[in-house]
Amino acid sequence: MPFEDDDAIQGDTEIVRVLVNSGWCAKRPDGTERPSSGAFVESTNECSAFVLAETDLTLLARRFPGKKIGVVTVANARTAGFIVARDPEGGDGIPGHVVLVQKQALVESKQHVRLARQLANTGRVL
Amino acid sequence: MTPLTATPAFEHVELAPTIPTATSELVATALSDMAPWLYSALSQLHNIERHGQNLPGVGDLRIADPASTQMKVLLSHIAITDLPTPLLYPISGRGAGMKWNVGKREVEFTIFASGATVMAKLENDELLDDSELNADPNFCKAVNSYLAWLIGAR
Repeated sequence: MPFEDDDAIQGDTEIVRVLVNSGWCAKRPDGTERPSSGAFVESTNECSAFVLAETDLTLLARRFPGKKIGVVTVANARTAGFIVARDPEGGDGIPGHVVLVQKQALVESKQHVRLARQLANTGRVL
Repeated sequence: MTPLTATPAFEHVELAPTIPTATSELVATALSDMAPWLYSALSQLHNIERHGQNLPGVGDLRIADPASTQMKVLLSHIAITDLPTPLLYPISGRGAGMKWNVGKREVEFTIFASGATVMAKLENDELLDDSELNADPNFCKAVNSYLAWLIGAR
């Protein structure tokens, strides 16, 4: 069944993406860290993330030791053309799993990468 | 009848000792001397291919064959030898990415699992130009033009 945007997830809700590779992080001109476009581009168009308020950061840290976490808001994800859909099974036991699905641009297009970059530019890194 | 293999022509012959330096080692030495960035890029590609896993909660970080092949084709078309070292990384869903940073300039390649490739150039985090390489018949020229612009910041 195709994923659908979950209206019940408010725009100010923060979602986290595990940044498993240093290439998924970037530095702003002011030196602060943010996720890079590489963190939100997905060939299958199902980008895994977790709702910050619902997930267990200890479990995430144990599953992905030493990895940074990128944080973006649901509103910014939607502005960048993504829907935010619940996918409890995709978390493999970690609660709050959602997928970001790009709906505004064709997958594998330059617009797809642009919108992933737009979302990444709004984020911060924990 | 005497079997053919019993004739002197099939007598056991000792093999010559193996040459200790493999061709791959010679190539690696040549690459690291002539284009250190290329040697690094190929090593990083090898690493992300070797360590790629399907990680529930993150994505499938294995590199698909078309993405790997496209990365190698892309690298082979770069004519600029004095580039800095790029950073290669997996793209979720079996793709691969590569980016170069020089000062405030960045050139970034996103290769999807199918091999479809998007190239972008940015300055101060602002997108200046981007291109879908598969649709561009002059992609070799375009890639080198982006990278020449990148090192023009030095």
